[in-house]
Amino acid sequence: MALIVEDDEDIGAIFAAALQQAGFTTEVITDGGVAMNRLAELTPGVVLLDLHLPTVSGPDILRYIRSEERMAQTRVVIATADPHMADLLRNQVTLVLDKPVSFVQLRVLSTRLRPLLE
Amino acid sequence: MSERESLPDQMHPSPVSVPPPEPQVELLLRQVIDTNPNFVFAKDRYGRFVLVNQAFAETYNTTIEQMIGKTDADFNPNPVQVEQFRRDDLQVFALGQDVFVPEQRTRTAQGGERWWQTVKRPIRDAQGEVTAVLTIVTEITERKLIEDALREARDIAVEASRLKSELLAKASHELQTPLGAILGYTEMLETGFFGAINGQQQEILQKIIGRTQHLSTLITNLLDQSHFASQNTQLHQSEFLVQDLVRQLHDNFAAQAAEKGLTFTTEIVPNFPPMLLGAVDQVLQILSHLVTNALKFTANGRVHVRIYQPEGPYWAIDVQDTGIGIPAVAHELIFEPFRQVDGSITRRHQGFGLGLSLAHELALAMEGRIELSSEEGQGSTFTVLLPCYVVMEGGLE
Repeated sequence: MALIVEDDEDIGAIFAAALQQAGFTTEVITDGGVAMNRLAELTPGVVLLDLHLPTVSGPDILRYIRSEERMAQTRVVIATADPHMADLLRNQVTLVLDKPVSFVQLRVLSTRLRPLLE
Repeated sequence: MSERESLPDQMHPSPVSVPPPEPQVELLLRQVIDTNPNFVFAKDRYGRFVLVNQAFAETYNTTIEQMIGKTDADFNPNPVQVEQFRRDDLQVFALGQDVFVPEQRTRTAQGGERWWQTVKRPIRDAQGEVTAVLTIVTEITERKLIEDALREARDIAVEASRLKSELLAKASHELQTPLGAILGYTEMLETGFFGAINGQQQEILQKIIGRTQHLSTLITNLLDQSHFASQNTQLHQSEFLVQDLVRQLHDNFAAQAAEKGLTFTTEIVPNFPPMLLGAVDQVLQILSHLVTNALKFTANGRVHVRIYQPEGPYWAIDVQDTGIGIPAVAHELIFEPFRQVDGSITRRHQGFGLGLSLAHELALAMEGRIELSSEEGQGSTFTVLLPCYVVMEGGLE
């Protein structure tokens, strides 16, 4: 299961389409606070995370994921247009994607991630 | 030596005696010091005024004649200040050297501030003995006000520049978001996600994707520029293989060059050290900007990258093209942000003109520089010179 945390609905839908084509079930959340609540009750294989989010920021969500033992295997992929902030988090995540993220590129990447989670 | 001996005898001062100058010279000197707007006065070893100018007497609402032979304590109601003046004077007597007080503040009765600069200088007799201390006090209140205003103006300018950079960064970020949606949906259409499309539709969609990616690169450059202006970029030093750098450059640009019908070649001269220490990401960024620029301004021919060691503590990378060249008058301007050589060229060549400015700033940040040799119509060679730290096998040189 892949959780997509992205405040732009269209971009969230595009990310979901790419991940679904690679065989993931997906859920898109557009608000940081809502994402925190959802992460308290489920353990996704992949979290595709935007950094600039309403209510709770991407880095705070990442800190929460990394503090929870049950999500130790969760792969986090950051998608951001802020390369300087991403640089600070690079060593805590599987991958950093620069926005705009290519649909084709994300689909290829998701296909590669899929077997790692089985 | 007892204290009593070291200090002048306050109880039994000798009478004031200054040898009289010739009458006409005295008159001239008198006028020189009295027309001086600064305070000019001299005191003897006992703190008594032996010379006072008009401006100084006026500050105490008295006359020159009234002041001669008296001390600061007779006029100045502030005992702390009197004590300080006496200490400064004694220091000049004791050391025989100038005392300079660059800034001193006093409060006016109206609650305002006045600022003063003071120099005290020993006056010697024919035997070289210090007989008096000359003091010149200049009011610097106006200069202080100007300095404060300038400092304030500079702070405002720095803050404005920071805000502008922040705004630019925010704007760039906001621009990337819709581009992401445009790019993503177009790619979904192009890959048949929403159903089959024909060859012409696919071609058009590919053009939209290409243009969108280009626009995104422009915005990224703008963001980098604003980031550069707002704070120092962190340079991460690491050991790197020169060959890897060149390979990466080739991977990034060979296809783009071929698309334009240009040849893109790279060369490392024989015996060039295989491993260097440096901020390799930034080196690649500099070269990417220069190669992008070379490809942009070259219609046919080739772009050649050459790595070698010039004279001096540098290593060098030439980015050479057979393009339109740059007129000599533009050589100094070309590294400024938002600059392209002229309006007509700007219209034919896309871009903000940020690439070269970014490359230039990166090179400076790495304590290197970029040199340009070019003539209009003759192609250009940009030479990047960077400090050379060779990594020998098993450690740093």
